Amino acid sequence: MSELHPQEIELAGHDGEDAGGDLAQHLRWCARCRSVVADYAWLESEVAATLDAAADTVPVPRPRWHALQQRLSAGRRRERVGRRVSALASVALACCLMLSASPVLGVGVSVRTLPPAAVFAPAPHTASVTGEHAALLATPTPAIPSGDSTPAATPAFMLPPTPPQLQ
Amino acid sequence: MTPGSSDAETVARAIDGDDAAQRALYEAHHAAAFRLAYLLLRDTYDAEEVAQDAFVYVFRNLHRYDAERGSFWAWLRTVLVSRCRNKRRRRRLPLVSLDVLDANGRAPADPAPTSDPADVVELRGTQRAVWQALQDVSPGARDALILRYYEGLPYAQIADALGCSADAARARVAHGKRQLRRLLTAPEEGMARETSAQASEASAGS
Repeated sequence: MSELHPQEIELAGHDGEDAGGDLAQHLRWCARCRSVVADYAWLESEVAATLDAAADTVPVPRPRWHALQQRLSAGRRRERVGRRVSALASVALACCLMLSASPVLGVGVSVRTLPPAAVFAPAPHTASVTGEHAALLATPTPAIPSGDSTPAATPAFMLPPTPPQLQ
Repeated sequence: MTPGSSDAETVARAIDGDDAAQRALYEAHHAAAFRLAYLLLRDTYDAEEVAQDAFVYVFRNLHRYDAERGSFWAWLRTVLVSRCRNKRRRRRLPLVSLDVLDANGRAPADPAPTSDPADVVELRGTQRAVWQALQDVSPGARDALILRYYEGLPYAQIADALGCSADAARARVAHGKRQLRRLLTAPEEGMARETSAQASEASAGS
């Protein structure tokens, strides 16, 4: 570094605060680079003065506190609505997840079903049966007892006899 | 010229929802915020809009402010610089007049602000020349120069505000100074050299 001049960007970055050892040593004997560093020091002070002057002379608008308050209020209202919507959406999502996951989790889900439509047994088939098959196929009919005081049990498929009318 | 940082009590009351305290903070920092935004954007309307946006953000997020990390102004400044850079990026969206396109049919990298800053501020002599040259410096380097020589920030805080490392912040300041020196030494040559350097940097970066 002491035999070669540093690049201009290095000199531009020299703020005078923490010059590296090589750069500081080079500046001690190199008038050309010292001149460049001095140029930059002058530029820094001019930039600072220019920016200060520009900031001081630009007309500053009046503070608009009420406009700011309105924006803040509108933002709070939007946040409240947003919170309500997200809460409702969360509840809906949770319900959907529970219903869809119930078969996997084995959670019993009772479902009311309509009673089955009434099914009536078909009427017994009555056909005319003749001949020797009649005794086999005919519906058995118990015989009416003669003289037996004990009335016979009424079979399930026959109505009980009508008691006789007394004269 | 930055506001002081002795508003810890006011900030505490503002966090608790005290409207009077919030108003006091706003009025105490409004001018400084506008001036910094103006230096960064070079347009009074944009500066006012961005400053207002920054205050809206800060007051909506007051609960996030940590006094141990820095002053209220330091936090507001970080938000303001970020908003200014976003605003500038949005300015670059197309809708460029044919008159503005250069000979190659390309739009300028950093379009001029809607109002001429030289008409707004009253500068003379060398300061006017420096102010004009600052308009031709690349935006990133100009931001670093403003934070360094107007706000007086160390490189670490410049890095925080610009979202880069301290070394990168130092490099941006150095590049900005080099560009300024070239522009002020030989304006026409410096302008052509800086324009081509910025174009080559932009094409290398894309």
